[in-house]
Amino acid sequence: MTKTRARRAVCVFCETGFRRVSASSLMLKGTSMSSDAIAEKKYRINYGTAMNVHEIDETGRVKLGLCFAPKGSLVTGDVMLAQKIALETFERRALAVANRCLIVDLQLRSNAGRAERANAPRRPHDQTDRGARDRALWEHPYDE
Amino acid sequence: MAMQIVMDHNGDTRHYFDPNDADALAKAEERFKELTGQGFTAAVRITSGEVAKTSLFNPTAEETVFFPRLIGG
Repeated sequence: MTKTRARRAVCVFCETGFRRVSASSLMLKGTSMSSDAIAEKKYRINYGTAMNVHEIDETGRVKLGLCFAPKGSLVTGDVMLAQKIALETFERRALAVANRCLIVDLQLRSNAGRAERANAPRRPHDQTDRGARDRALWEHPYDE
Repeated sequence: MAMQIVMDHNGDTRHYFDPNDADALAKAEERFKELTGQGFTAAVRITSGEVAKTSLFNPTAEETVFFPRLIGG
């Protein structure tokens, strides 16, 4: 019997077909190996133990947050591994116990998104039309 | 050597056993039944690195991982 504290879960995930999308998150796509799987669903498991599983839509944005974990206090890597195995092998049952929450896509609030919005062309402000409408209202306030 | 990995709050506990040893195999099977009876989920690594959930003891499995039942967070 050997006690192991060191966690290599992220490396294990990468070895077993997960795609590492950042330093601390993993993407699971197309869990079709079991009959319990739901086709064409993508999940991202972020580093953490709670509210760290996200369902991803077709455009790559977070659609839904899922919160499920093994009972008891486990190490973060073990929790992530259990979530990954659950989504791969008994997805429907995992989703059945999971609590759902709406997640604001942080990409929209990131610096990259802010820079994109800053560089986007601004909508021209149409002063002439607004002025004409105001003048018409002032001169004939009760006309429809 | 085959291995059973049980996740717990200390990290995990690994039980090694020789699949050719009848006594060790019986102990491993008893441990499997005890853990699955407590609600643990057992998963084995199959070929090509994929994982499959199992509810029966597989003496040929190289690695079996046990984790507690899932609950909504």
